[in-house]
Amino acid sequence: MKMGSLDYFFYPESIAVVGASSDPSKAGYQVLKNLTSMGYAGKVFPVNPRADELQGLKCYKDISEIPDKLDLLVITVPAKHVLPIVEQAVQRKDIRAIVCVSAGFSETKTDEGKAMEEKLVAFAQQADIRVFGPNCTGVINTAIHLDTTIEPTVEQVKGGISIFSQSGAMAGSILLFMEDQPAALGFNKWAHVGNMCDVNLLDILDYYGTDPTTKVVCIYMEGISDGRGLINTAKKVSKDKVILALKVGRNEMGAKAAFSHTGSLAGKDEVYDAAFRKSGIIRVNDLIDMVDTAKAFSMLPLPTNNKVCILTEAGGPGSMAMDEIGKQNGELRLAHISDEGKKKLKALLPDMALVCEPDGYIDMTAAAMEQQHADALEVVLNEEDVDAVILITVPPTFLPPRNISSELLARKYKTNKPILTCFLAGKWVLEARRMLELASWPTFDTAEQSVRALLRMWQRAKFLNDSEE
Amino acid sequence: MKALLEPAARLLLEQYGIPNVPGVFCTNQSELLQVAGKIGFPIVMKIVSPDIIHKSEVGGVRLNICNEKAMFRAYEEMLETVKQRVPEAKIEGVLLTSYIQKAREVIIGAVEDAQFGQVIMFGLGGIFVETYKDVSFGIAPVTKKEAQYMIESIKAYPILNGARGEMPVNFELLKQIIVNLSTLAYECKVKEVDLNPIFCFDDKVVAGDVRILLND
Repeated sequence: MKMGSLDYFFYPESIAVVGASSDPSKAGYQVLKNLTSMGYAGKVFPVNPRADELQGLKCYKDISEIPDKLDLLVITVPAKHVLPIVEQAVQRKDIRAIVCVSAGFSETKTDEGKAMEEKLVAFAQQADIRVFGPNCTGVINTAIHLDTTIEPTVEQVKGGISIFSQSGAMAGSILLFMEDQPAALGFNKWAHVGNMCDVNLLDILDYYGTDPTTKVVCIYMEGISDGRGLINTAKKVSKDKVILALKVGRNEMGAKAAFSHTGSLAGKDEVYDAAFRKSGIIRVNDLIDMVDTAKAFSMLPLPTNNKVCILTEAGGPGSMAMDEIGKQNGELRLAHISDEGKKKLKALLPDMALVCEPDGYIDMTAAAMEQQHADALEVVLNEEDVDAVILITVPPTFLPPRNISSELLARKYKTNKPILTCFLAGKWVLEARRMLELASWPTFDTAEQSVRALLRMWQRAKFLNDSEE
Repeated sequence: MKALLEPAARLLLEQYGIPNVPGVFCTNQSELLQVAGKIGFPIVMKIVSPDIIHKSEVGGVRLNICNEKAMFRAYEEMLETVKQRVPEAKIEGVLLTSYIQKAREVIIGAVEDAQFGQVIMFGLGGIFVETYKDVSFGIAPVTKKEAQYMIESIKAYPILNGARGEMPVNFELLKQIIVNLSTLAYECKVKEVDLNPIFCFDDKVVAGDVRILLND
């Protein structure tokens, strides 16, 4: 590993936890538990002068006693004890990375807190040690089952989504929402860097950008001081990875007193929008939007154009999808179905089915059984003008939802068009959705959510087309 | 911070390929007469003073002056009113420009943002900007493609595109002005710029008024 590389945080071979504890109400207990319970195969050394053994591991009085080489140090002791530990870390000369979980630094906005943080950075920098935090929970890397955090643990399903957050609570919540999908949505790396005294948002974005196993980067952000830096880094990364940002503070700054009209109108949030657009960052509105969108990107090919076919088994949710398409300023359009395609659909669907009223919208009706779902999907996928399909179904009591999933999966459609599926709703369809998602076939809670996810995918496709020109 | 006088600001615009309405700076009545003869009535008269930014609020703008007599009267009244309202203002003279009618008006501006540096804004002029805040933003410098997105993403875009039976305005020229102003803002690291109004026709697009505030 290269000096200064963030690999020391994400791929450490040995870790010491200073402040490790037997008291479950302490961060030092939770960190040790997460480090040892998720399957991390590297060496873990608890450090606590008052214990001989913790969670089955030999405990050390201080880090200078640890005989093995150390890569990463996790510090969980109260703020006032942190600096002497960093000095010891410097003296050891092997530690290259510190996760400082301890709070009570610059975030307190006191002179004392700020001064301690400055010293912490100064000590670390002169010894080429990179620092996460203070006031942070560190990293998760599913590739090596690493978890330095105090977050509730989630099933570590491997995937292409990597997460960065300026809020520990939001970072944890993103994972919990991902786990809460019908099939737990896999992830790759996760980072919360707290006060960002050294490693900051741009460092992580850059790191994820060079990580071959990361396909989608999810960022929760509150703000950034180096806006130009964000644009430059994101521009580079967004060439081959999707960046989703959930940015709060939509109404943070109103008009300011001004010399010009422009000055009074340039709200902060519109400026972020413009910066995101320039750098290929896709902005999402909330947690659910973030997870839906990340799921769609991680499982589906991009649409080549913006023509969508709505294939629905029920009128209501189909209309909801149509309304949502209408809200998007013409960004998505209904696809044209050929006469031949219409003929095929009419022949295979129940008599009362409404085929292409309007064009591109097919209401199969509740009489449609699993074969008809699958046959109709095949027909519309083969239509030239169709770039994406939104498949909606509200399985009635006489059609067990898993029958639909089995039939869809059995067809093994050979297509490069995204299919966004919505089964309404709840426990009745959970198993059916799980079957699909385990086969990388994403499902969504509502038809509107599937439309929004498709819209983001189309925006991404457009961005890539535009950058090629 | 330093506000450029309008004649200097107009020169800077021209250096960046942004056309102004025809206009000349005058310091006395004989210059007025000469300039009016050259650019032709109707004309606009604007006060030029380093101490006055909001000209119309102090009686420093007169529109649609149609003949020599009205021009001289306007000149005297303007100097007097401005002196009354801002006694400490140093008055350099007045700027005479053509009075443009029946154009569709847009505003293009730039501000310096603490995080992102120079940010450029586009919107339809008049009540659209003030009442509806119907504007779009880009991070300077912008490309032509970004400029196009900025133009097309305001709600009032159909008006520029000829919704009321008119010809569409010249979008090529408009895009070029957005690109050029964003380059100016970025290269000169301006604090704020306002081109308001910009007059748009199907064959030309010209800036009617300009304010530029530079960083020290």
